[in-house]
Amino acid sequence: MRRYSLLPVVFAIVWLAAGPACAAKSAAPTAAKELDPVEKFDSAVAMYQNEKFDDAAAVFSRLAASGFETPTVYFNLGNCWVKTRHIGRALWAYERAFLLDPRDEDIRFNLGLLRASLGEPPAPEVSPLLDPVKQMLKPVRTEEISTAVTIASLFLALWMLGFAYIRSWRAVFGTLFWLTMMGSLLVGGAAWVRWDEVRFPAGVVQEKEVFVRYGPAESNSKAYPLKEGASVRIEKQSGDWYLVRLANGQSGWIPKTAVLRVTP
Amino acid sequence: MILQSASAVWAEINIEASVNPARVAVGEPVELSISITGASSGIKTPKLPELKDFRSYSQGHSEEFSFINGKSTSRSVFTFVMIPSAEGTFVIDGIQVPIGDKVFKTGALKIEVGPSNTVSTPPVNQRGKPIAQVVPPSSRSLPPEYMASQEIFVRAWSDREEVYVNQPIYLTYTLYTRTSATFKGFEDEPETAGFWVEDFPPNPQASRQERNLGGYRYVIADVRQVALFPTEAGLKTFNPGSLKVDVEITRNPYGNSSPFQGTMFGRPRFSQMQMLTEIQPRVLETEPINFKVKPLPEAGKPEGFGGAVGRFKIAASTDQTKVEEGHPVTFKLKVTGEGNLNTLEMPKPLKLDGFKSYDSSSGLDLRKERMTIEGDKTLETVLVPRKAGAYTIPSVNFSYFDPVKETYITLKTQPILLTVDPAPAGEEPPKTPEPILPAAPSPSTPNTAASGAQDIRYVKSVMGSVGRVARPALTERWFWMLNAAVLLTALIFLTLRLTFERLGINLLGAKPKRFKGEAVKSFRAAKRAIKPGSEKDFYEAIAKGVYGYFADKLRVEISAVGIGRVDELLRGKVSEAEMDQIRELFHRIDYGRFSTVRVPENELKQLYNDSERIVMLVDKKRL
Repeated sequence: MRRYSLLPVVFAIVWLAAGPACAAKSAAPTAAKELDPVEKFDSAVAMYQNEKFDDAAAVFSRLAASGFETPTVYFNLGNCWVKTRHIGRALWAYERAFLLDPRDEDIRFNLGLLRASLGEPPAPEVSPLLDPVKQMLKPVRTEEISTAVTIASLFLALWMLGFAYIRSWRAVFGTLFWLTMMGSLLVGGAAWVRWDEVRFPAGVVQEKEVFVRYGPAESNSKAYPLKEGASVRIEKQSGDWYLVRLANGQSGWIPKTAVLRVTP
Repeated sequence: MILQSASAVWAEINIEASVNPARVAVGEPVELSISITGASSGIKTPKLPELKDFRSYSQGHSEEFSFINGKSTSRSVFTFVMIPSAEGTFVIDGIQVPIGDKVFKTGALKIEVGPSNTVSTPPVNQRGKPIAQVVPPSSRSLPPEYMASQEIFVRAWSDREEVYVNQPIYLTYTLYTRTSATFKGFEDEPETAGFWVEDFPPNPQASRQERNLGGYRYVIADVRQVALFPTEAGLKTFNPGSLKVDVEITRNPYGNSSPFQGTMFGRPRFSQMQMLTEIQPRVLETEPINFKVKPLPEAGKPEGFGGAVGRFKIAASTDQTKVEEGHPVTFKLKVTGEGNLNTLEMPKPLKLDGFKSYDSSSGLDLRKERMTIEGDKTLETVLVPRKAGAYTIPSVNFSYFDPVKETYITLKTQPILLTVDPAPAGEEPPKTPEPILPAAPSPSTPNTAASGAQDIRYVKSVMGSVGRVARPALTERWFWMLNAAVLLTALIFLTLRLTFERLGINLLGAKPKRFKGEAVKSFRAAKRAIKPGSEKDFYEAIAKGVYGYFADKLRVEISAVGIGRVDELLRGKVSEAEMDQIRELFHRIDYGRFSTVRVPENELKQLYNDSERIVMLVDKKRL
C-alpha cells in the first residue's frame, strides 16, 4: 500500500500561506486615518488654482506626511514647488510620485522636464547590456518585481514538492518546474538589475549649492560643489552627514540637511 | 663665418680640429669638429680637456671611405657642441685623439665669448647649413642623471614644490626620446586624492624640441599639463601615474656582429629599407613628486572668508536702476580672476527689505588658454520690489588670499542705487517669474493648462489610491532569506524523498528495507543449522530470510511472496537469467521445506550461498 508523507504537505501549506503575505508587505495599503483626506486634497487643489502655491504645498506635504501617500499627492506637491522655484524639493516630490506610479505619463513628463531644465548631463553608460534592460524596467515598480520573485520561488517549491510526492505526475511537475525556472531566471535578472539601482537610497540636493567634503565634518576640505536638484545615492551616514555617490562615480560627504531622501 | 682650426700630420695620419664660430655669446653653441684622415682603424672617441665654464655634448661621429684611382682613403669626423656659460677668451688645448696604441694631440683652439645680449650671426656648419640651436633646458624639467642613459623616458615636473592650500601647482609631463615614438595616453592615471585637478587642453602651438642630454640628442615634447589645487595642508606626495608609448625599433636582420654590419663609402652597408622595424608598446613610469602644502594663515583671516586663493576682482551690477513696483530687477555679482573658480564660494545671495528675492542662477566661464586657470563666476538674483521708493543695494564683500603677496584681501562692490516707481493705477503687477523650462508638448490629460511653451503638466484633481513609499523589499536581507528558505525546504524534501525511494526507506517508521535486521538474523540461524539433523530448521530459517527479504524489498506481505508475484514485480527490473536463478532458488527452498528427502550438508551450504548471492544481487537493483 502506498503511503504519502504528510509532513512536507504541511510545510508547503505554511509557506504558501506566508509567502504572498510577505511579498506584499511593502506594498500593503495603510489604513485610512481619521482626517478626511479627500477634502483636504480638494482644498489644496483649489489653492493651487488660485496660485496660492505655498499654501497648497503645505497641505499636500501634510497629507503625505500623515500617510496619504498617493502618486497624485506627490505630483501636485512637485508642481507647487516648481511654481515656488524650489527645484530640489520639486524633484524629490516627482521622484516619490514616480516610485509609486512609474507608468503615469504626467509624472514622467514633469520629472523629465525638470531634469532637462537643470541641464543635468545624462548618466554615464555603465554597460551596453544593462542600460537597455534598466530602461525597459523603468515602468515596473520595485514592489512588483519583489512580488514576482516571491511567486516564482513559491511555484518552484510547489513543483518540487509535487515531483517528490506525486509520483504519477512527475513528468508534469518536472516540466512545470523547468518552465517556471526559465521564468524565474528572467525575474531574477530583473530583480538583480533593479537591486543594483535601489540598494542605496536615492536623494536629491535641496540647497542651492552645497560643497561635498572629504570627510563628515565642516573641518574637512571641500572637494567639489553640488547644485540644487543633483541626484545622489546615499551610501552611508555618520552623525549629521551622508556619504553620497553621484552617477559619474564621484563621492563625498554632505550634510544631511542638504539632501531630501527619496526612499526612506 | 669665423673658423679656427688646428691640424697635425703624423706620417700618413692627418688630424684637423676646428671650432665654428670662434666668437659667440654666453649660452650660444659652438661646434667643435675633429677630422681624422689616413687612419682606417683603431680610432677611438677623442677626449676633450676639462673646460671650466663650458658644457659639452657629443653630436656624433661619421666615417667616409673612398677608393679613387686605385687609392683608398678613409676619413673619420667627431663633432661636439660646447656651450659657454661665462664671458672671456678660452683656449682649448691638447684634445687627445687615441688611434691604435698611440695618442695624438691637436693644436690649440681659441674661442671668444661675449655677453649674452651680444647679437651674433647664427652659426653654420661646414656645409653652410645652420647648426640646430641647442637650447639649455629649464633646470626643473631636466631629468636626473641616471635617466639620461635611457633611450626614452618621461619626466613629470611641477613649477613649484611649496604652495598654500588651494594655490595651483602646474604639473607638466615631458617625454624624452632618442627613437621614434608615439604617445598613446596614460596607462595609470595620476592619483589625485587630496587635489582638485584641472586639465589643460592639448596645446596646438607646442612644437617638438631637441636637446642634448648626457651626450645624447633627445627629441622632447610636453604631452600633458594639469593644474593641481591641494585641498588640505601637509606634506603631500603626488603619484603622476604612467604613460603608454609605442616605440619604433629598427633591427639589423643579420644581427649586430654580422660582417654586413658597418658602413661603406660613408653609408650603412645595409639600406634602411632592408632593416626590420617593429613597434614595441612600452609603459613609462614617473617618479612621485613631493609637495609641501602650507595652511592659510589664521592671522588676518576675514570673517566670511570662503577659501578662495588666487587673484580676483568682483563687480556688482543690475540690469536696470529704475523700475516700477512689482517689476523684477536682476542683480548680478561677477568674480573674475585666476584661481580655482570651480570651488570658489560666491557671496551669499542678497536679501533686501522691501524686496522679494527669487532663486539665483550661477554661471561659470573657465578659461585655460594662457596655461593658467582663470575665468569668471557669476551669481544672479532676481529682486522684485514690493513698494515704490529709493533703495540702495548695499556693497557685497568678497575675501580671498593672495599667495604671492601672502595676505588676505577683501574686496567690496559699489553700492547700487535703485529707484522704484509706483505701478500705474489699475495695472496688475506682473506675475512672479516662471521657471524657465523646455517647451511642453501637447498635454495628454484633460485638465492640463494650455500654457503653451515652458510649463509643466497641470495638477491632478483626483487623489487616487494610497500607497506607501518604503524601502524596497529587494534591498532587505529578510526578503532574500525567506525566498531562499522556501526553495531550500522544498529542495530538502525532494532530495530526501528521492534518496529514500532509492534506498527503500519509509519515513513513517516502517522497517528498513535493506538486507539487514530480520533477514540477517534468519540467515545466521540458517547457517547455524547447516548440520546433519537440522535440515528442517535450516529450511525454515532460509525461507524466512529469503521470503522476508523479498517481502520487504517489494513491499508486500510475506505471505504474498511467491514466485509468481515476485516474477510480476521484478519484470523488467532484472534480467531473464537472474529471474531464472530466483525461480530456481524459490523452487529449491520450497522443495526442501516440504520434502522429506534428506539433503547432504554440502547441498545445504550450497543453497545457503546461493540464497545469499541472489539476495545481494537483488538488493543492488533499484526497484
